[in-house]
Amino acid sequence: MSQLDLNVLDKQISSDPYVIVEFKGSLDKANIDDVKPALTNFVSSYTDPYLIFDLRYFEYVNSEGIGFLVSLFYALEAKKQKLFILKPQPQVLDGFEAVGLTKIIPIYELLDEITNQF
Amino acid sequence: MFVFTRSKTFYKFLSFQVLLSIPFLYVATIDEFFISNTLLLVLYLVLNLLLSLYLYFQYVSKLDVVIDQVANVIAGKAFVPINYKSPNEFGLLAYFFNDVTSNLKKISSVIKEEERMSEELSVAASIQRSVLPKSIPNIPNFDVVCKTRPSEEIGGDSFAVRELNDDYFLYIGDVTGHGAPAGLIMMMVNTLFDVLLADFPDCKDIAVNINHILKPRVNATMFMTTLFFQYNSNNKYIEYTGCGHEHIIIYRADEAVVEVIPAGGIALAMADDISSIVEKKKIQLSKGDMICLYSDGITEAMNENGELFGLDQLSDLVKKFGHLESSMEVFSSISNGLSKFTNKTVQIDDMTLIILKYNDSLVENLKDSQFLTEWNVK
Repeated sequence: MSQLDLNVLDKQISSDPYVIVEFKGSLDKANIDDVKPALTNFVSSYTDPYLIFDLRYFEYVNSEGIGFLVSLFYALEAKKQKLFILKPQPQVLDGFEAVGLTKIIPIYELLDEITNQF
Repeated sequence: MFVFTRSKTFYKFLSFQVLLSIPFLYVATIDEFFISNTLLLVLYLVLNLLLSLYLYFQYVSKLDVVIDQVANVIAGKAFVPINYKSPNEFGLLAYFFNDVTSNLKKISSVIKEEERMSEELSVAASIQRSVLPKSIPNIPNFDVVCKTRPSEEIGGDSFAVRELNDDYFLYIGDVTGHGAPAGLIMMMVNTLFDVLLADFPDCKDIAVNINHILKPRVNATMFMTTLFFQYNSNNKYIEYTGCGHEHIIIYRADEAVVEVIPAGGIALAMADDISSIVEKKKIQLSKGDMICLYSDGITEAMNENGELFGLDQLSDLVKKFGHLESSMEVFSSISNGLSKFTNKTVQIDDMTLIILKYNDSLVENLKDSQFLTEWNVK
């Protein structure tokens, strides 16, 4: 049974224009229906201009999970907000690259690389 | 049954019995005894008749109604709710019967609905199977085997081979997830491939234009990884455009080695315009070379320990059996290797495997539609 823990990290400075959501575990057929409502609601009510998904502890995602991430990307884009992905593990990055996700969602190794763009 | 009722009726019945016994204690003479006894006997019979009628209407008739309705339920006949409201055992029995039969009706309607949906899924699966190639055109210099095996009635994997003028086009696709939603998108792409090919006879153009139509029509969570191939028999190479699909595995006959090439590009329906993302590339071919295409249902197939089959094992099998004479032999060997790995583990995703063996001579391909599309993993 796959499990995914989502942890919304506290802002270091309250004026930061972004929030980091830490992913721990896996996202696949086994748990996607459980994860979808929480993450969809979070994104739909999210108000800051930038959102960062920190995937350093994210171990596996299948194609359905990738499809879900794409839908979150477009949901944010529709509200003029931007999604960034931070530090995915190699096997997760391989999956992203294979389907072309990296062509639409920017992926970075360091948080500074993202925040320098704000 | 009577003893267990514990109602006021029970005590009334006892009172009757006591009253009937009292007159026998006061008879004085034989005549009086006979007259009295005859009268008492008549009275006794009348009272017993009345008592029987009372018992019948009070209990037996009600029990008959319950038994009749229970018999109807058991026999699968029409039944009606029992309308007893009394706060006694019959009321309780009626309430129990009505509650159980009400739930039975609900369950029955759910089962009927599931049967209806199952029938519709079977029809949809049949329609979907009908769009898969009935036969593969003879592609000059290639021996081709294409097989797909959905994990449910309807699958999200598909492939097609078409001949247009002197060019041959082949695609393999895999929609996110599986089941009916994936099947609907697979049908859309399969139809678009046929419809648009005449206007866009180029592996990159067809990918870009299918995506252009597909993207606004599908949910943002859905996409289809695809590989489009194009071959002209005047050439000793094959061209392809990758749309986020699995790797291309190539067996090189000269050196008996395997090359694994990322498909590249981006999956269909993931971005509005993919014209600047996808590319047209070439694969040079020599006699005996073989191309293996697959969907992720193969590399993500699991064994009993939850381990993935993976790209490495698939590549190893391609390397081991790539020298075999025909594509069918290679296909069977890979299929057997996969079956040994998964053993009796349930298939959780659609699987498609295509083997293209370049033989530098005309090869008759298989034409039996069942043989083409039905992949029985032992």
